[in-house]
Amino acid sequence: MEFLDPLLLGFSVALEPLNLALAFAGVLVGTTVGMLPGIGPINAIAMLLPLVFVSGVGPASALILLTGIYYGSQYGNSISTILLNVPGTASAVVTAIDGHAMTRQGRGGEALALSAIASFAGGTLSILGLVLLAPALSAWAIRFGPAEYFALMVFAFAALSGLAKGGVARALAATGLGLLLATVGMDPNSAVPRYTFGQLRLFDGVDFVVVTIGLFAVSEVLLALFPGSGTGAAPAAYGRIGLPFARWFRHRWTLLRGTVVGFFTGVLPGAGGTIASFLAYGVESRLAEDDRAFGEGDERGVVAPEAANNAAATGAMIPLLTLGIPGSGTTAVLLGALLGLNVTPGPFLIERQPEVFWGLAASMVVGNLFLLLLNLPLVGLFVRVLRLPTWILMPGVAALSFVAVYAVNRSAFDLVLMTGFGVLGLILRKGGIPLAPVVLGLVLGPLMERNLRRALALSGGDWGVMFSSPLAVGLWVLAGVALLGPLLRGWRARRLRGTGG
Amino acid sequence: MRHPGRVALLLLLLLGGAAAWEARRFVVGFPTDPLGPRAFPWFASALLVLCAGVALRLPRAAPPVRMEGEDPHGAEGAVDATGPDGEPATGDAAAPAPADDDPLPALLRPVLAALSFLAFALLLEPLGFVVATTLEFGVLALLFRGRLLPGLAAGAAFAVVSFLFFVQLLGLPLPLGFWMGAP
Repeated sequence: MEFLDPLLLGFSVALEPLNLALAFAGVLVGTTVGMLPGIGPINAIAMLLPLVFVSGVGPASALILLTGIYYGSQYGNSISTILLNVPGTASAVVTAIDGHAMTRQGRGGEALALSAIASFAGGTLSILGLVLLAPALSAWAIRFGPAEYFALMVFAFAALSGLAKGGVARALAATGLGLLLATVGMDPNSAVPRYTFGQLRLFDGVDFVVVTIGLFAVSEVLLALFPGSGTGAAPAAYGRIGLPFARWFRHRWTLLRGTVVGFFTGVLPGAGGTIASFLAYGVESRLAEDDRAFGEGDERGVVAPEAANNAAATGAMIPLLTLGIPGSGTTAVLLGALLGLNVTPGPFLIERQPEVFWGLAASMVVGNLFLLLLNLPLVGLFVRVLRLPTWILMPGVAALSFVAVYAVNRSAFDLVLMTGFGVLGLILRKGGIPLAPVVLGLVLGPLMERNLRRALALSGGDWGVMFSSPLAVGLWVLAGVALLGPLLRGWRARRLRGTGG
Repeated sequence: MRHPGRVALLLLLLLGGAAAWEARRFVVGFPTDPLGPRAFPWFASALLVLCAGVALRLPRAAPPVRMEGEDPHGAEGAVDATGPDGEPATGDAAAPAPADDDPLPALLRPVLAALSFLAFALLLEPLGFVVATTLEFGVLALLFRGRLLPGLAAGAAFAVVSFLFFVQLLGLPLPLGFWMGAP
C-alpha cells in the first residue's frame, strides 16, 4: 500500500513536540470558542485565524493548529447543542433533536460521551478515505487547464447556491457580492486600481480576515442585541460523563453508516455537514427496526449525525486540498488561510509539499484523539464557561474580534472596515441572505478571474476555449444541473400541491 | 426592521449598480488581455443586480436546507427544526426565545454597538489598548443589560490578560496610548 511511507512521514511531522502542542492548543481553544452560543466552526476559525498568522509557525504547523481549531469548534458546538439546545450551525440542529432530549432525561453526560466517540470514529475513519482518495484525485486533477478550473469554480458556486437557504437567487446574489469584493484592489494585469477610492490600504484588496470576522463574529454580536435572541436557560444538569464500552460498541454499525454517508456527502462541493447529518439521521431512523425512540432520546440519533458531520468535514478537505476548490463556507475560510500561509492547495500540493498534506492527515488522527481524551474530562470546565452571563460573553466575543483584526495589520482602518462588514453581515442575515457564498466568492474570485483571463489570453480572445474540452463541458453541465435541479424540484412541488388540493 | 428581506436585497441591488457604475472608469490605455480590468467587476455586479432583482420579485419561499456553517438564526430568528421526513421534530429543537420586554426600539442597541465599535477604532491608538478595551467592554455590557461597573471590571481583566498574552507571549505590539509616551 503505497500510502504507508508518506503516512509515516506525516506522523513524524505530526508528532513533533511543537505540532503536538499546537494540535492540543487548537483543540482546546477551538472547543472553548465553538462552545459559545451561536458560534460555530466558521466563526471560531475566522476569529482565531489571526493568531495563526501572527504566531509565525510554518505552513504545516499552522494547518495543524487550524485543523485542531476546526475539530475543536465542531465538538464545542455539540456541547452547547446538547446541553443548551443552542446549535451554532445547521449541522448541529439534527444532533439537538435527540441530544437535548437525552439531556432533559438527565442523560446529557451520556449524550456528550456518545457525541465525542461518534465524532472521533467518524473523523478518524474518514481520514482513511482522505488518504486513499486524495493522491489519486490529485494525479487526475493535473489535467485541469485554466478553462477547466474556471468551469470547476462555476460548478462549486452553482452547487453551493443550489442548496442554499433562501433559494438560488439570494445565494447567487451573495456570490456576486463576494466576487465584487474580490476585485477590490490593484488589478495585477493592468495595474488599474479598482474600488480603492484613493485609499492606499485598499490597494491589496480587502483583507480576508477583516471581512470574515466582520461578517460572522461582529454580526453575531450585533444580532444578539436584538430582542428575543437570548439563549435563555443555563446548561441543565448532565449526570455522569462517559459510557461503558459495551453500550457504545452496540452502535458500531450506526457509526460506520454515518461515517460513510458523511464522507461522501462532504466530498461533494456545496454539500457539507448539514446535509450529511440530516441524511445520516434519516438513513438510521429508516433502517431501525425499533424507531419509536427517535426524537425522544434515541442514542443512535446522536451517534449518526455526529459521525456524519465529522466525516463530512474530512471529506470536504479532499476537493480543497487536491483541487484547491472549497466546497463550503468553512473550507473557503480554510482556503483563505492556506493562501495566506503561502500554501497553494491543488494537484501539486501532495507532490511539492508532501509534509503539509501528510502531516495534516496524521495530525487529524492526533487531533481527533486529543478531542476524545481531553474533552470528556474537561467538559465540566467548559460548561462553567457557558454559565457566564451574556453581558460578559458577548462583549468578550467582540473584544476577541477586535484584537484579532488589529493583530493582522495593526491598522485601526481595518477595525472600521470590520465594523462596516459587521453591519453588512447583520443586514444580510436579517434579510435571509446566506453568508457562505460571499466568503466563497471573495476567496475564489481572484482565482476565477485569473483563470478566465489566462484561458482567453492563451486562446487569443476566443471564448470557445471555455467549452473546448469534454471535462470543461461536463463541468458546465453539472453546474447547470446543480442550479436548475432545486428550481425544478420546487416548481414540481408547487404543481403537485396545486393539483392535490 | 419591517421587511428585512427587502431591505437587504435593495441594498445589494444598489451596491451592484454603484459598482457597475464605478467600474466604467477601469480603463487602461493599452490592451493587456482580452478581458481587461472592467469585465469581471461588470460580470459580478450584473450577477448581483440580476439575482437581487429576481429575489425581490419572488414571494419568500420556505428556506430549504441550510448550509454548513450558517447560523440557524435566519430572518425569522428561530431554528427551522423539521426532521428529515419533513415533520416537525419532536423534542423541541427550536430554542424558545424568552419573552423580551425591552423599552427601547429594537434597532437602537445594535446601532449604538456599531457606533461604539467605530469609536473604539478611533480611540484605540490615542487611549491605548487597555483603556479602550475596558471602556468598550463596559459599553457593551450595558447594551447587553448588564451593569456598568461589573462590565468595566470584566473588560479591564480581559484587556490586561490579552495584553500580556499578545505582547509578551506572541510579541505583537499593541497601542499603549498617549499617556505612555506613544505618538
